[in-house]
Amino acid sequence: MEATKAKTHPQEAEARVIRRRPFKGGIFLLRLKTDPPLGLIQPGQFVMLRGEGLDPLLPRPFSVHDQEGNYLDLLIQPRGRFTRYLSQIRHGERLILVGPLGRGFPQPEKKKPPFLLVAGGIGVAPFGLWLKMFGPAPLIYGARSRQDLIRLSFWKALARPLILTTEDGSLGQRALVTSPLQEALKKGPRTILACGPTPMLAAVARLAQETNSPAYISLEAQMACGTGLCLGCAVKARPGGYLHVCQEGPVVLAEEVEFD
Amino acid sequence: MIDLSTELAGLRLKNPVLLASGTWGYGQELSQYLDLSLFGALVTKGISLEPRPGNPPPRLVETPCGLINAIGLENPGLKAFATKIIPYLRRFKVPLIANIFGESPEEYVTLTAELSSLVDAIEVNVSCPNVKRGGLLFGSEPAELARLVEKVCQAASVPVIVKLPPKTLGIGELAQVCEAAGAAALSLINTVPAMAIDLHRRGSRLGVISGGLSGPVIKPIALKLVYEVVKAVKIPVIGIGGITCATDVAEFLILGARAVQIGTANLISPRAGSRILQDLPPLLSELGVSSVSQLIGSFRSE
Ligand SMILES: Cc1cc2nc3c(=O)[nH]c(=O)nc-3n(C[C@H](O)[C@H](O)[C@H](O)COP(=O)(O)OP(=O)(O)OC[C@H]3O[C@@H](n4cnc5c(N)ncnc54)[C@H](O)[C@@H]3O)c2cc1C
Ligand SMILES: Cc1cc2nc3c(=O)[nH]c(=O)nc-3n(C[C@H](O)[C@H](O)[C@H](O)COP(=O)(O)O)c2cc1C
Ligand code: FES
Repeated sequence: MEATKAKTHPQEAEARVIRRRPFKGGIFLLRLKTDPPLGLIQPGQFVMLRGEGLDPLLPRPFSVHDQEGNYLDLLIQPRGRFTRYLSQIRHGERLILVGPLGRGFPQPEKKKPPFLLVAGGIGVAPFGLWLKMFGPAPLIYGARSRQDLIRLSFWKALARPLILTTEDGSLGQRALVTSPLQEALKKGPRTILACGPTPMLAAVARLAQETNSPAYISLEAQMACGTGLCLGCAVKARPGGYLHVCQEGPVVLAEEVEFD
Repeated sequence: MIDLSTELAGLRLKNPVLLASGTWGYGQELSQYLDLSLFGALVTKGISLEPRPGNPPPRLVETPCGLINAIGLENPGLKAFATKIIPYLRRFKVPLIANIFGESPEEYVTLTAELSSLVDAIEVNVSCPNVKRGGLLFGSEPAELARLVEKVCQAASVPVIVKLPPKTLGIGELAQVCEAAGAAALSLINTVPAMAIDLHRRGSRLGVISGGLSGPVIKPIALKLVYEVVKAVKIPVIGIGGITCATDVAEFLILGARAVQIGTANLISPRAGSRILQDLPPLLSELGVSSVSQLIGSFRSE
């Protein structure tokens, strides 16, 4: 089993904004319709998205949260210039998208340890598509505070069980996602799929190693192209050299990454 | 019919649009989006004698209308380039220009000698530290640059293009010493040395302190330097810097550039190059010319 490579050819497409649905805490869901339609997207794959002008200059990477027919859902947290622009965007506006890109999460196979999904903050985004495609699995979803945990009824309907954590204890367990993960791993090895901030991924990688559980993590890196042209998205690899997140990732086996 | 063809250092190019070194991988990824055989020529990513892993991340920062990169010239080295990459790129049947760099004149010479039989021209990146001279750039000092270019030209059996750094004072002199040393053409500009600061960490936003700025923000600088160099030498000049559309191409041609290279635009959109090529003929008609050569050097200085 390895991170799954795109079966669909990536392409550049026009993307129309169909809907923008804001949640508490600033995160919003963007539904896009692409022309031409993208083929089947693997959970964990991403798209590069940009506006029509040259400011911001470069496209930005976003995981595909859900795909329904010709529609694509992205779950976005405003962070800087482009994501703030998207947070105000209106129905019908035009964006340009390239995708689907990168390698996604593996799918269930017989005779493998059961899956366990671990999400930190906006890192929950790719698991929408995964759970819809491959059926229920346990999801540990953590964030700083309750307002950062979004779409809870959506996750409740898809995950079995849904375990919530917050750092301030305002919803679910007062803990980091790694403590329910540690509990769950006591029952035996699991195939962990994780997406979230880098320190969380490093902690997940450690727990996975201690329990002999395979862990697939979705990496973040600054990207210029997302398509393998610039070699900008390097992340330190084990035993040496670099991985290119947009090509070998974003989903990689945790043991391939050197966290320092 | 608009005639897009141009001539450069003895190479006939079907059009003046080339892909710039380091901005289109080695072709495999980009050819998913467009046909590489459309272009006038392909300039491959900088190759060194030995493989190089590149710089620690972060390697990229976006600034207003620009990109600072500190890739650190990551590349698989001469051997893999010669045995794997060149054969793949040859299928596109367009002139191949190999961009090379070394840490000593000897490295440049070896690369040139080895690659001469495999590609149609060599582009020499001189924005590299000369290790023996304590990190001084080859491209910064005229006498040193002249010696390097002379050695490379002696070792070469194909035309040698020197890629100049964006030296805002004395670029004409650098261009002239390259011409005198035997360069068949000049390309400019390479990225502009630049930094970006992380306020909270009070450090650099790149894994190494500084990098090279590219993209639309450098186009005005590139235009001025191409203007200077075209005046200073007789050999052809290739304009590079912030080109994202056909209009940008025309601006460089008007100044006298015989061809251009598209860099950061490929990263913005993998289809940028083909869109530029598509838009060029209608733009030329609009400008009242029927060939690229009618536009080249049509700049009016009065
Ligand atoms: C494979 C991948 C998938 C992603 N999926 C999603 C997603 O589904 N939803 C979502 O909201 N975000 C996602 N991101 C992060 C998203 O790409 C960034 O938030 C976005 O690029 C910020 O753009 P901006 O113009 O708003 O911010 P900028 O103005 O460019 O930057 C604002 C701040 O955010 C930081 N930043 C920018 N890009 C990144 C990055 N890639 N990683 C970490 N910090 C960054 C900058 O350093 C800066 O401090 C993903 C990133 C990657 C690499
Ligand atoms: C990511 C990246 C990598 C580059 N690598 C090289 C290289 O290996 N050799 C070289 O001579 N120039 C390299 N360049 C410089 C470009 O070829 C070009 O000169 C520069 O980016 C300016 O053009 P632009 O503004 O159109 O990008 C690189 C530029 C970028 C953005
Ligand atoms: S972002 Fe350009 S190679 Fe990965």
